[in-house]
Formats: sequence, C-alpha cells, structure tokens
Amino acid sequence: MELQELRRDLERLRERALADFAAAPDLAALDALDVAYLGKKGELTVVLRGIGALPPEDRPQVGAVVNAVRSAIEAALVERRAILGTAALESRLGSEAVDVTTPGRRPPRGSRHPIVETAREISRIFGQFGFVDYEGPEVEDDLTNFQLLNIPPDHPARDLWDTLYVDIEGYLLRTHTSPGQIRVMHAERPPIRALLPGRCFRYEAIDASHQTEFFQVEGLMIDEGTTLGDLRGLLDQFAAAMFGRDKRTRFRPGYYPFTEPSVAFDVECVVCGGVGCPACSRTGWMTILGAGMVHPVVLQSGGLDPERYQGFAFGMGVERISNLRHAVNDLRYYLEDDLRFLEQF
Amino acid sequence: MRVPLSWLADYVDIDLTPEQLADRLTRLGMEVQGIERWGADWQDVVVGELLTVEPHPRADRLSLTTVRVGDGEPLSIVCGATGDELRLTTDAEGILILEPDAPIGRALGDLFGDTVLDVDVKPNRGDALCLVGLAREVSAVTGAPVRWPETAVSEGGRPVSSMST
Repeated sequence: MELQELRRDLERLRERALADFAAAPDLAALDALDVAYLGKKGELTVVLRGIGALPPEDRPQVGAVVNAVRSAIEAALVERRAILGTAALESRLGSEAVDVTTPGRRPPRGSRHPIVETAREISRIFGQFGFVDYEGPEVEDDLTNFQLLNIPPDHPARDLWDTLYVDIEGYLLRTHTSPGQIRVMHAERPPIRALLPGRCFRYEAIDASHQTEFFQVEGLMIDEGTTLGDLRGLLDQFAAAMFGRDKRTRFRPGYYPFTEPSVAFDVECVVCGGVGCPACSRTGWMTILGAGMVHPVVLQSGGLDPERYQGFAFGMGVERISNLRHAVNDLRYYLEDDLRFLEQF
Repeated sequence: MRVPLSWLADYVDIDLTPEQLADRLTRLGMEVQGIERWGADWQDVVVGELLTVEPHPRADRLSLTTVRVGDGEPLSIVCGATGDELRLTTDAEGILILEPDAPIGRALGDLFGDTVLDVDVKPNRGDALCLVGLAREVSAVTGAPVRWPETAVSEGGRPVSSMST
C-alpha cells in the first residue's frame, strides 16, 4: 500500500476514533470503543502489525505517524473517560443522596393508663404522709367484705351494694376495698397508715357513671388518739394536691356501717369553681370520697381495743378522681381499650 | 325518697326556695339528688267554666262549646269530648273535671303544680322515710315547729295482752 494512502487512512482513523469517543454515551460504550481501536484485534493494532510488510526505509515514517495517531486516540480516550466518569459519579450522587435534614421518624411509645396514673398519684400524695401501699384479694369472703365491717347479712345496709358472688359458698367478688382494713389490722400493729388500691366489682347496670368493674383506693389510719380533725386535715391536703389549693372543701354527714360518724368529703366544683353548673348539678360542690371514724365493731374485728385505739378510713373511686382531673365524662372509656382514648394520656 | 313540697308543707312551714331547702337538707345529711318542677309548662292552661255544649256543625265527632275563663267574653272552643262526657261523668278520657269551686281563669300549674325533692335517705335513718320524719329534719334545720298529724285513736275491745301468752 502506498505511503500516502496509508497516511490518509490513518488520518481518517484518527478522526473516526475521536468522533466515536465524543459520541460514546457511557463508560461501557467507551470501553468497547477502546477495544475496537486499540485492542488486540483493534484497527490501529492491525495497521501497526502491517508495518512489517512495508519497505524498511518507509517503516520509521509510518511508525511515527501510527504512534502519533495512537497517542492522540489514547489522549482522547482518557479525556472522554474522565468526563463520562464524572458524569456517572454525579448521577450516582444525585440518585443515592440522603436528605439528612429531614426530621426523623418518631418510634411509637406507650403510656400509662389513666387509672394507673391516677392511682399512682393518689399513692404518691398519701405516701408523703407516711401511708404505705397494701393489696388485698379481689375474691373475698362474705365475712371480711361485709360482716366484719359491721354489715350483717340481713341488714338494710346491705342494699348499698349489689354483690357478685362466685361459685364457692361464702365467697364473692369484693364490692369495695374496705375489707383491706380488716386484713391490715391483722397484719400490722398500730400505728397504722395504709393505702389500699384495688379493683372492685358490683352487679350494676352499666352506664356513664356505673360499671361492673371499677377501682377504689382505701385509706386507713389507726393510732392512739386519732381524731376527726386529723381526717379533715389530711383530706384537705389531698384535695389541695389533687385539685388545687384554691378549692374549698367541706364535710357533710353521710353513712357507712363501718364508720361512725361518717362523712362525705366535697370539693368545690372543678368545672365552675363553686358557682354552679351542670357538672355539679348546680350545687357548686363535688363529692370526691366517703370517710369516717372507724366503727368500734370494725376495730374489734381487726383485733384492736376501741378504748385504746381510734382511727379513720376513707375510700374513693379512682375513675371519679380521674374524670375530674382529665374532664372525662364517661367512665366506660377506661375499660374499652380504645387507643384513641388511651393515647391522650 | 320523693318528697312533694306541697305535702311536706302540711307538716312544717317552709320559707326557703326549693334550692335553699335542698342545700340545707344535704348539708344535714339528707342528700337531695334532684329537684323536679311539675307544672312549669302548664302555665298557659287555665281553669274554665263550661257554659254550653253542642255537636259541632261541621264535624261528627267534635263538640262546639263556649267556655268562660275570666271577665272577658266567653271563648268558643272546639273540643273532642262528647256531650255526655262534658255534662255528666266524672271519669272522662282526656278531660279533667275539676271541683265546682275551682277558681276560673287560674293557671293549672298554680293548682296542680308541685316541686318534688328526691332525697337519698341513708339506711340508718329509717325514721326519715316518711313525710313526717323529713318534716322533723326540716324543723331541725329551720327551727319551724312540726305540725304532727292527728293520731287520736279510739280504744276499745279486749286488751291484747289477754289474747296471747
């Protein structure tokens, strides 16, 4: 082949290569072009081998041209590779980027049930006065739940409670936490300051203010010379802690077979502050618990001498307290397991 | 226990409003759980004197009456009661026949209305499960004397002690 012709071919090859490189869409295509031009069977390589067939005096010239073309192709490859490489990197950075400024996803957290929370708060308040938490059984016997508390079997006072009985003769589901008083008096010697939270059961028609299952907290203090004044003072502190120091309180005469005298303890209405509103039936007062001085019969039931020891007891409904604290108007919510309600606490 | 104040007033004078009375009784230990007012919506119903009754000219089962309700002109009132009911009988459906001396024109609420206190009497106060017992409670609160009901009995016959051993 003529030298000039060879020169021309090489020149065209170089132009083609550079054009192909510029047009290569990605690194994979570029690699293929690399092999096509500079590989073992590449176009340039073939020409380079063909130099041997030329007359010896032409070989240096052709060799120089071929090497020049090869340098140019190699340079173009490097350059194009760099451009494509950068583009590929940019693309990956763009698509795989993480926006570190987005707010995190909050992991779900549970919360305490309002009944548990309220009972704990009650325990905390009385705990500051030395009251210790005790637990009694939910299945009680008739003696401890009624008779030892001065509620004889056929006395009209029994009508104050609608009892659920179990299939064991003489046993029932406790209707209040008061039986705990008997148990504490047998378990501890005076001075006694006991708090008895617990689940209670009554045969009730279920409505917004009544349930078959509900929670009470009982309190008992027994010492030598305990007075009604001690009861009032303690309950006033409780009311202040639970409902605010600005609320007045009052005792009114009440009746329980196991306390004498018995009282209802009222706090000024948390909704209207004593003015009178539908929540307090326009009286301005809300009864939050019943209490009284422990009846001598009950002290004797507990093995204590009423001449030597006196005491007071109180009992409150936890749902009632929680209702007043959280403006809940229907205690059925506490047992319905509805997350929409429970999540609010 | 439901206590109509009109009946309670038979045994003790009450100078307080129902709300005041409820508050005093509650603070005494007789918890008033509710106050009902009967007759507030009867104020526009008045006592009338039936003057004439005729069958209604245009309706078989109706009567046309004239009724005096006061000093003005008697009113023409269409009525669903029959002539017999209006004239004679004392028990008639839907018609309240009053005593002859009922004051004409007075509102029915004034005559028959009442206020009822719902008192939660505790089991240790069986003595308060009656109007007289509650009258005594009111008396304790207000100081007004109780007007005890007449309990005179005529005694006669064999002594009970001779009838049993």
